[in-house]
Amino acid sequence: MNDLDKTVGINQTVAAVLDLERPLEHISEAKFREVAKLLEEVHEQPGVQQILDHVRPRLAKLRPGRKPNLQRLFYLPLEDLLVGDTTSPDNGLLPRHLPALVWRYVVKTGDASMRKQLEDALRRVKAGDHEGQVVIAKRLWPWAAAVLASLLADPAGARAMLGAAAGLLDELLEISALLHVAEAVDKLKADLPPRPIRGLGDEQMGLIRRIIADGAAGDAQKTYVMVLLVMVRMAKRASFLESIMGMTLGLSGADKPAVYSRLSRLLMTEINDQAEQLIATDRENLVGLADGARTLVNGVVAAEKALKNDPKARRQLSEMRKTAEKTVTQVVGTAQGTVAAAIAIGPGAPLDSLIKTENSILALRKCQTFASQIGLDRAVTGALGGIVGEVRQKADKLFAAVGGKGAPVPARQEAEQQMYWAVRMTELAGNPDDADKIRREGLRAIG
Amino acid sequence: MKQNTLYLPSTFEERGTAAPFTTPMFILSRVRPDERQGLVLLLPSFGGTEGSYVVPWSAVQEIGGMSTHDRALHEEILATKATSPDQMRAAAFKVALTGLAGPAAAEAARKAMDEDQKKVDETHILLILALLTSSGMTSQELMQTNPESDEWRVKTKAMLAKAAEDYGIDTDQIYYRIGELSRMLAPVGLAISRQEARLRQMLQGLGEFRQSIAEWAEQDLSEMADFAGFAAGAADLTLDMAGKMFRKLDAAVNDIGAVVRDWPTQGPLANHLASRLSWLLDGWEFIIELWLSLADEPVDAQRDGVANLMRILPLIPRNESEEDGDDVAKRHEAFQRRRLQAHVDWRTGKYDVELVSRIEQIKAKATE
Repeated sequence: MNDLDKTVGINQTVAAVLDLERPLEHISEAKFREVAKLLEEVHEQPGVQQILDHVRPRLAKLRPGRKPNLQRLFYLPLEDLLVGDTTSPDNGLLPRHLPALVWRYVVKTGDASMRKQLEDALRRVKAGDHEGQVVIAKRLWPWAAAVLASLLADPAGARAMLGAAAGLLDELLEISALLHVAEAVDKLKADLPPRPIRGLGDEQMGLIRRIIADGAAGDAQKTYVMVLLVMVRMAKRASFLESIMGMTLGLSGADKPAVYSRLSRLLMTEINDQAEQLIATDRENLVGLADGARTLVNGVVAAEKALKNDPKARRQLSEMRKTAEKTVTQVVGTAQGTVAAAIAIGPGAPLDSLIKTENSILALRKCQTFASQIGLDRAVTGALGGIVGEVRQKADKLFAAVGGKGAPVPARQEAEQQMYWAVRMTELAGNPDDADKIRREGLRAIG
Repeated sequence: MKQNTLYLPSTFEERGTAAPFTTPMFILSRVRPDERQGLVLLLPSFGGTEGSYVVPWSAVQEIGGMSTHDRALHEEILATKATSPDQMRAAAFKVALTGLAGPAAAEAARKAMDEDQKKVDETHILLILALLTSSGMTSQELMQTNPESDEWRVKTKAMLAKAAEDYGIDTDQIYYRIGELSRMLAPVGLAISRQEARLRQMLQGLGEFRQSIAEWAEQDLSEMADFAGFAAGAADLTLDMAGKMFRKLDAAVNDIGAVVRDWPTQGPLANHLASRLSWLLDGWEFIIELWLSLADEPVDAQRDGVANLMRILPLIPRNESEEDGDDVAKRHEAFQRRRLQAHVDWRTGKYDVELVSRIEQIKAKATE
């Protein structure tokens, strides 16, 4: 096969794969692995990156044994920060197309003989040989970092290179910093648990601090990117930010607040997203609203603590608090109305209504777990207490009727049904001990 | 708590039957008879697969904040001495019908009881047809008659009387044996009539569980991947054993005439094989639904789910497996040295309405 035939063949393959873009999500695992391997081989062809982006979630899940290439090694220190956006997220995360652009520049401008040497070395490394790949990556990163350093020495040249992505100059600086500390980043990643990290012990925090302090050597930009890299892996980012910035990272007194402020942007993005999700939640879905409000309140409270010295952030957080308060007030009002109507009907309501009633109480119980943080604990506890009280009254009337005092005696099966319904409502809105008292009382009364 | 070097019960009976409690710390605890205590609860260890706490029945309600459903179930199990999977199923349905585990669980129990009864009736008819075919009497005529009609009853009575005469037994005995066989075989289904039933259908769910959790194990980066792989292995072993048991049972009841005729030997054999299947698959419905409920959850919730699932995984007892005992031991050995804690929410004795509600939903799905 001559070169022309090869090119035609590749183009046909790309065209076929482009046609297959949607079915790729549905093909078998084995076929998907084969296609992924093929896409990697032609990844520089127009349109292939677009397909790779499209199937990336499945690609990440299956982790097919993809053939290593220099571009993948170049991405290693950056991969935790990549996002799908096209514009600057303005929080330290990197739009996925930017490293691709930067890599093309490095390939075009960097020393070709060095790149050739690295490619030859990589060709001799097997797909699964991570250590062998890292050895090559440790030569690649400083080489690429030097190419970028030359570029960034001339800001006008850097903007020209970015072209339509000129708004991503800060992100370009981040990539440069990450490449300069790539070895330390590699060590950091090796020592971290898999994402998301629930919490870190003192020893782990100490280790992270040492790696960052040694790797960044007091440089604000390098410290920023390394802390950011750990922060994105954390489940509780605000707590981590507060802890790590309370440690000695080798930053000057002037740099420390600036780095802290830059890192806080990621927190604010996250909380904004939570607030938007809450606003978008169906108003009828009380459980979903309660869950969303709890996530937002927990995020706001943690961020308020971490960002107590940032007046702008505090103002924004105060607005989000109001969103959560408004939601919880709505949940309490709607739930009270639903349950009051359900108590009047009792256990004979249709299945859907019974489930809706239980969900209303469950939403109140969810709100109860965080209502004190937004000053609504009395409203929530009052609503739940009201339900328990009304149900208790209804149960007392039932037991009196069964005992022949007052209202007509219900049939045994009906009395049992009403009793168990009262037990269930009391347990949901109150606690199992009080509910069980009603059950025992009821069993004695009904006999 | 027992501290054997390798804790695996010897028999299904020693493993106990799974009780569908809804309080997290009691989930899939097992019940078994005890000479001194009457009944004991085997509370899965919070440290993974290393055995169980053996709790006297009278002390069960004192060790954690039980939901009212669980308190009622605890009493019902004692009252009915529910120590086999079938007895436990009946006790669980009775309590679920009260609505104490929520309206969805009550509805699911109602439907499942109806289905169970329908399956017994269906099996009864199929067994009569199979018996008459086996006795050389054509059942074609019966096939065209409504089984709920008097005509069906008259015809079958005459034909069964003829069969009883041929076998040298009373007609009442024929009815009794068919009735007993219907009860035994309804949960497993009659292969000669290509009848699907609850336990046979469960194999598909178990197969999907094995596939799904094995794939998850391959993808996950945390230490939970090994445990998920272990769970896939346990499902695999169970499927393998279930396949063999079904083949044995299907062969044993292939000729219904022979089973009815040689009832003193064949009846207990069929009962033994059918009940072994119930014991083998006991608890897996909940595990399968628990795993399905995690499908759309974030990865950290799935990892917690694997830890919780490991705590209650129904491992095959040593003497019930056809594998060499040492092989079974080796399969589990790697996990004995590694402490795996169930997620803290599932270990606490405090009543958590949100978790209980989630478990109730899984319970309702597992009953459907």
